[in-house]
Amino acid sequence: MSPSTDLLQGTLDLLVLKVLARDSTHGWGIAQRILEVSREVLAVNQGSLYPALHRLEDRGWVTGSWGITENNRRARYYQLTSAGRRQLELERGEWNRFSGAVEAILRSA
Amino acid sequence: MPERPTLRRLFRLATGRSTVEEDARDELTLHAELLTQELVDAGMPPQEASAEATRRLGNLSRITREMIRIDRKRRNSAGRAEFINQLLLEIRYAFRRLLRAPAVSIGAIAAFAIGIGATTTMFSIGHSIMTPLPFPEPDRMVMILGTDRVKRLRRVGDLGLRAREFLDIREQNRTLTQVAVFASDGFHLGDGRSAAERVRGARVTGRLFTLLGVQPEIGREILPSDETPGASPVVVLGHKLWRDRFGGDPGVLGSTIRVSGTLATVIGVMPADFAFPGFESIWMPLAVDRITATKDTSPQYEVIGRLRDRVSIDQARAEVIRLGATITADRGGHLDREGLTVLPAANWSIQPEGRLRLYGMTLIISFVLLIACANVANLLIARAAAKSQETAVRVSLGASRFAIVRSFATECLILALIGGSLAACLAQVGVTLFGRAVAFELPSWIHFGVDRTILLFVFGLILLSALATGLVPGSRSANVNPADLLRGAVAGGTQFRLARLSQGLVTIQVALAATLLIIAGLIIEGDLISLGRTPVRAPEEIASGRIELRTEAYPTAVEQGRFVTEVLDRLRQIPGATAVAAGTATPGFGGPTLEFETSGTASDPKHPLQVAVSAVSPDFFATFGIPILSGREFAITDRVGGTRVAIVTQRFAARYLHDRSAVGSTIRIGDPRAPFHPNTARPEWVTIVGIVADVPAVDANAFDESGVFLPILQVGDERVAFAIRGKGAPADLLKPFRQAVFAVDPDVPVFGAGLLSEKYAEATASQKVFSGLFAAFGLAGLVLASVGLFALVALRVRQRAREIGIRMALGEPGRTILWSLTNGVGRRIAVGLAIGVGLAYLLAPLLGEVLLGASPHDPLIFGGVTGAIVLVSGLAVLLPAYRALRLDPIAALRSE
Repeated sequence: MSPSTDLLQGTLDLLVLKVLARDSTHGWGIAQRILEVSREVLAVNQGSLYPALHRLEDRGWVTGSWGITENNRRARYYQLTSAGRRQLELERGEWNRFSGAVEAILRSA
Repeated sequence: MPERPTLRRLFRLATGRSTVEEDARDELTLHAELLTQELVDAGMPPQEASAEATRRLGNLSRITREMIRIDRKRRNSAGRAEFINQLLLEIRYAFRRLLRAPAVSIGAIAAFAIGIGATTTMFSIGHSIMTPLPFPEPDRMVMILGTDRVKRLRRVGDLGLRAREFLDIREQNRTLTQVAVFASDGFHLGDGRSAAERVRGARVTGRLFTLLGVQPEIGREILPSDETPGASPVVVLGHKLWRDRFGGDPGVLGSTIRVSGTLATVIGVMPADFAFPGFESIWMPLAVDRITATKDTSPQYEVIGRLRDRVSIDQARAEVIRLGATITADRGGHLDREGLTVLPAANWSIQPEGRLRLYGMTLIISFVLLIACANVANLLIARAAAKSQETAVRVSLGASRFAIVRSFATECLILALIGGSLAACLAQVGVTLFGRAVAFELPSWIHFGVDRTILLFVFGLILLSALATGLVPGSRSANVNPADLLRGAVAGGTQFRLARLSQGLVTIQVALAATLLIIAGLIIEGDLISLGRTPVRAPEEIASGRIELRTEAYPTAVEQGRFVTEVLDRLRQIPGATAVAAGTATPGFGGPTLEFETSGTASDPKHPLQVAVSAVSPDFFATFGIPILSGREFAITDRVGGTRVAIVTQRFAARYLHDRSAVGSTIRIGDPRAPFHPNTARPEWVTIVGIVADVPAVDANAFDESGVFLPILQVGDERVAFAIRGKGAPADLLKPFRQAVFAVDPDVPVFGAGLLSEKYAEATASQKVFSGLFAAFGLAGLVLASVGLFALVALRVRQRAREIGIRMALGEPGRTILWSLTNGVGRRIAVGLAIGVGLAYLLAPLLGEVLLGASPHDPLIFGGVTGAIVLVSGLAVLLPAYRALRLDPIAALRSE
C-alpha cells in the first residue's frame, strides 16, 4: 500500500469523532471516510480502529447499535452522543493550539 | 392465567442478547470481508486479497480480546448503574406509597422508635451496670456472704461475714488464692492548723491489692503483717490524693502523715484510676481482732476472694458452706443467719433493691418490645391488605412475585430505618439521663452509654418480626388471582385470612398493654407512696452537716457529749437559727439496726428482735418537727451518769409494748455504736420516757420505720450529724456552722453539709428516674396498642367503604352500621383486656418488694387501667368508624 503517515496517538479519537459528527456509520465506513477526506494520506491502522471505537463508547462519547447495511449485512453503527460532541469541540481546540504552535516554530525557524 | 414471570424471564434470556464475544468477532469479520472485497475489486486474486486484509487488520485475537475487555467493563458498570437506578426508583416509590397513608406510616415509625428505643435504653443501662470489675480476670473474683435466715428477696447478699468466719475461711480454705476484707470508711487528713479534710477511703486486710491484681505505682501494698494489733500504722494513698495534697512527690514514701488523728507511715501510692470498692482514695490496714472475733456482736465484713486456677465457683461455694457449717456448729447454732455462700463479684456493688428494680424494668420492657413487634406486624398487615387491589393491578400487569415482595420489604426497611434512627436518639437521651441521676451511687468505673451491639440486635429483632409477619401477606397477595380482586371481591380469601391474623394480634396487644400498664401503675403507686412520705416538717428550712470524732481525742461518751454540747451552744448563737440539734442519723435515712429485748418478754436467742437505733440530742424532735405523742423529749440532764432513758416511735410502742403503757416500761438494746468499735460491756436496761410519731424513710432502701432513740449525751458517738433550722436563706447557715465546728476543734472535718431538702431529693433521685421510666414505658405501651387499634379499624372501614355506602344509601341508621363495624374488634378488646388483667393479677404478687408497699392487687390501679384501656381503645376504634359514617354515600360507592 501507499506509504502513509502514522497517526499520532489520540489523534485517531479526534478523527473518529469528527467523522461521526457528520453522519453515523460503521467501522468500515469510518476508515473509508478518513482515507477519502485526507486524500489517502492518513491510513487508519484498521485493527486499532475497533478497540478505539469501543473505548469511545465506554466513555460515553459514542453509542453503538446493531443495524443492517445497504448490502444486507449485520453491522454495528456508531453515533455521536452530545457528550461526544462536546469532546470533539474540546479536542479540536486542543489540536488547533498544538498545530498552531508547531506552525509558528516552523515559520520562525 | 398470566404467564409465569420466571418462565418469561428465562425465555427472554435465551433468545435476546448475543454475547460480547460474538459481537466483537462479527464486527471484525465484516470489516475483513469488506476489505477483501475492495481488494478483489481492485484486481487482486481472492486468495491473496484475504491474506492481505488479515495482515492489515493486525493481530486479530489480540484486538478481539481488547474489545471484549472494554465491552465487559462497560456492561458491568452499566449493570451497576441500572441496579442503583432501580433501587432509587424503588425507594422513591416506597416513599410515595408511605406518604399516601401517613397515619399508618407514622404509627409504624413510632412503634419502631419506641420499641427499639425503650428496649435499647433498658438493656444498655443493665449492660453498663454489669460492667465487669476493672481488674485482671474479674470473673475469677467472688464475694463470700452470709445468707439470711429470713429469705426475703431484698436481703439476698446483704449480709457480711463475722470476723471469726472470715478468719477461719482465710486460714482453712483450699479453693481460693486470696481472701480479704474491705470496708469503706471516712478518714480525715489534718495538720491541726487549717480545717481538716475528709477523704473517702477503705480499711482492708493484707494482700487485697494482690487479690485485685493491681500493685502500687510506687511503694508496697498493705501486707498481713500490717493488720496485727500493735503494728505501726501504715497508709496507701490514691494517685489523685497523692498529686493534689502531696504534690506528686515520691519522697512522701516513708514519711508520716496524720490520718484520723493517727500518725501513719505512707508505704505506697496506687496507680491513677484505681478505686476500690468504689470511689476511695486512701487505704489503711484493717485489724480483724481474734479476741472480739468470737463475739456475735463482731462487725460484719464484706469479704472478697479470688478462685484458684481450675477451681469452679461451685467448688468454692461447697467448701465455704462446709466451713460455715462447722463454725455455726461450734457456736451452738446461735447465729442470725442460715449459712454462707459464694457469689460472683461481678455486680456486688449494686444494691439488692437496685437489682430488683432492674428485674422489674426488664419485665416491663419485654412487654413494650412485644407490643411494639405485634404493632409493627399489625400495621404492615393492614397496609398489605389495603394495598391488595394495587398489588392485583401490578400482578396483572406482569410484576413478578419477587418485585411485589421487594417493594414491600423496601417500605418495611424505610420505616425501620427512620424509626431506628429515632430510637438511637431516644436511647442516647434515656441512658444519659439515667446515668446522670444515679452517678453518685455507683462505683467510679461504671459509665453509662448506649450499647451499639444491643441497639443493632434489637433493631434486627424488630425488623425480622416485621419482615416475617409482613412478607407473608406480601407474598400471599402476590399469589391472589388478580381478576377476583379487580372485580371488587373484597372479602377474598387472602384478605379474610389477613384480617383474622390482624385481629388475633389485637387481642395480644390489648392483653400485653393491660398487663404492662397495671404493673407499671403498681410500681409507680409504690414510688408515689414512698416519695410522698415526708420524714420531717419543712426540710428546706434545715441545714445539716456531719462530723466525725477521733476516738483518741474523744474516747468516751463524756468527751463526745461535751463536744456536741459545745457545738450546739455555738450554733444557737447563729443569727436566724431558730432550733438546733444533733443525732447519729438524720430522720428519713434510717440507721443501723441492733438487737433488743423488752422487759416483759423473754428474748429468743435464735431470732433476736432488731430495731433501728440512733442517738439524739435534746430538742432533736422539736428541730425536725416530729410530734411528741406522749412523755417528753430528751433534756440536757439525760447525760452520762443520769438514769438510762430512751424514746420510741409510735409503731415501735404499738408493736412491741402492746398492752402495757409504753412510757415507763423498759427495754434492753445492743450497743448503738459504730461497727468498728465493738462494745464489750453488757447492755443496760433503759426506761422509755417518750413516744414520738413515726419517722418515715425517705428512700426506698430503708423500710423499717419503727425506731428507738437514745440520748447522745448519755451514749455518745463518734459520728454526729448537726441540724440547724432557720428562716430566710438556710444556705447562709452552712458557713457559720463550719466556723462553729472549727472553733471547737480545728481537727474535726465537716462533710456532707447541705440543705436537708436537697439531701432528700438526692436520695430519691434514682427512684424518681426509675418511676419516670416505668411511667414512660407504660404510656408507650398504651400508645402503641391504641395506634394499632386505630389503624386496624381504619383499614376495615376502608375495605368496607362500598358496603357502608350502600347501607347508608338504603337509609340504614348510622348506629347499626357503627355497631357492625366495631363489634368484632370490641369483642377482641374485651377478650384481650380480660387476659391482660388476669395475667397482671397473677404476676403482680411476684414483684413483692419492688412495689414498695403498694398492694399487688390494688383495685384502684386495676380498675383505673381497665378504664383507661376501655376509653383509649374505644376512641381508637370509634373515631375511624365514626368518620366513615360522615362520608358521602356516593363518594363511598365510587371509592372502589
